[in-house]
Amino acid sequence: MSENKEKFHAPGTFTLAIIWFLWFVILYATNWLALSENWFLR
Amino acid sequence: MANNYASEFRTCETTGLKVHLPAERLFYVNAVVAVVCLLIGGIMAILIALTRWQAVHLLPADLFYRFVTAHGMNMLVFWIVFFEMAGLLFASTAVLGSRLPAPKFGWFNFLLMLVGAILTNIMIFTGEADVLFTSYPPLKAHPHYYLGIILFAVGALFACIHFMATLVVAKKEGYHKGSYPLFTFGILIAVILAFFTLLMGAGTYVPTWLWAMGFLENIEPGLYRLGFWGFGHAAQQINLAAMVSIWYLIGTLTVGAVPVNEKFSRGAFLLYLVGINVASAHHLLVDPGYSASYRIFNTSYIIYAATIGSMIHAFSIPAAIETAQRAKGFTNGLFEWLTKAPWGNPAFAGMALSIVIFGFGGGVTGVTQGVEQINIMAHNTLRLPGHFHVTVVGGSTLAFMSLTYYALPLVMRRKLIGAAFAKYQPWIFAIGISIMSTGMSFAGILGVPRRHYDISFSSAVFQVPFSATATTMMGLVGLGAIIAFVGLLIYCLIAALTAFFGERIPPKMELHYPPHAKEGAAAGAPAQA
Repeated sequence: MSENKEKFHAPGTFTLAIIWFLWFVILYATNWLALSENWFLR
Repeated sequence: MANNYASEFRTCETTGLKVHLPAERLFYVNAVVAVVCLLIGGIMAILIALTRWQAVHLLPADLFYRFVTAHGMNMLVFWIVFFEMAGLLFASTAVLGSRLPAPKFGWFNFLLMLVGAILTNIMIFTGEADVLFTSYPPLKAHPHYYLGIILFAVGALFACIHFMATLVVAKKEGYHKGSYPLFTFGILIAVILAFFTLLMGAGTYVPTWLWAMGFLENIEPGLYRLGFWGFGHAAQQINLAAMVSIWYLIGTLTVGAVPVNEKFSRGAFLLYLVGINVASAHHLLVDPGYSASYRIFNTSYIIYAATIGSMIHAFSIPAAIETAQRAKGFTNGLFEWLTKAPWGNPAFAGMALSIVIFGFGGGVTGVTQGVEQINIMAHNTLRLPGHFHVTVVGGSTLAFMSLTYYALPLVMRRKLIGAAFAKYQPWIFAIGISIMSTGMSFAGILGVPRRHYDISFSSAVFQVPFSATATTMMGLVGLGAIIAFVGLLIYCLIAALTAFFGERIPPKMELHYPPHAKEGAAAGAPAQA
């Protein structure tokens, strides 16, 4: 376990990458939501 | 042979790099002209922003569109490419410790580019080319406008050939051995992209030039749009590769960051080659002249090769910085390495802000707006300038500015004037651009069109009312532009004052022999003739 911990060199960067990914998911999903409300399929 | 040039080198006392003096002089002129173009483009930018801010509405209509054209050409093409030419010289000579094989050819290329840029600007400012940056037919400019761009592109193309020749000479004469450093490799990828870009530019502008002179009767507008974006967008991908290379370089220079996995980073650069130029079809997403399959394949599939490349770099560079910082003992918590980073160094601050703005602003908006369906909502609205101002300006331009703070003392050998202001410059510029782009994006979401003189439609027959929020967002655009312009002016002042009046750092002249010459010559010992 401790060996694995030592191998994880950049936990801060990994956290930043996760924050970025969540931000992207929110933005992307919001855009599709906006499209669904603006582009009516009848 | 190579020993004839041994006395033309100096040694940089800070980095130990061997700098070939003829290359240094060319670097100097390219960088100076780049900053002049940035200043012209910046003045145009503030005038345009203060016109789009409806409460101010500064310019008359004709000047507005003229200045939009001038802003596009000076910022997206002249500032960026002149600076990249300086980067090419640095990557191929100083980083490899190599000589520049043909300095006279370098000056010829530079003069071609300079004459092209001046000619194009004269045509724009005399009102002979009010065709906007895209110059879509049937809009027609004076033939000299197209000629100026062609001369500039040919000069840049020759400079790229010169770069390749320098790499060959570096290996052949033994200045460098083994694989290229990551910075040079990234710039090499940018140059390969540049060959494609400049050939597409020639293929587009030469027929248009002939058309403007009357030798061709028609230009097929659909084909022009395809060719133009093969040049116009691909040119921004050169910036991307150059910007990422600069991020790596500044990470190394400031905190001693070493890429966590260099092969991985090189692979990410190669992904740019695969996907990025074809994906410029995203400019044609609502163009009825191309099939939906073509547009969707290029933008919703191929584009992700480049996106993944950028994501790898965006993870790799901060990870390299974190690893370097942790090795220095900043190991508390998740972010001590970040809070204890050298934020007072303008090069580091600019690079870090460039990564954040590019990733969190430009990357996510680009991928989203590049989707065919979502593009239907965003196309030709102010959302698109909102996207590319955080990529090309908040990303590339800020990265280029950051590198300048190292280039001035190390390459131009001048002591920095206004170091106290330089500390705050990247922050002011970054905050301004972020506010401006946020305003643009939200105004675009509310339907405000791009490149439009007057959204109040004051003298139009039909009124298109915009909400008060949209008008407020346009005010935010103006406010952000003013802040960013202050940052830009500080940068130009520091660069100009230092370049012309900064205290000279005397060169440390040392004989430099190719350390890997085949004749068995070691450094400092002449090889056998």
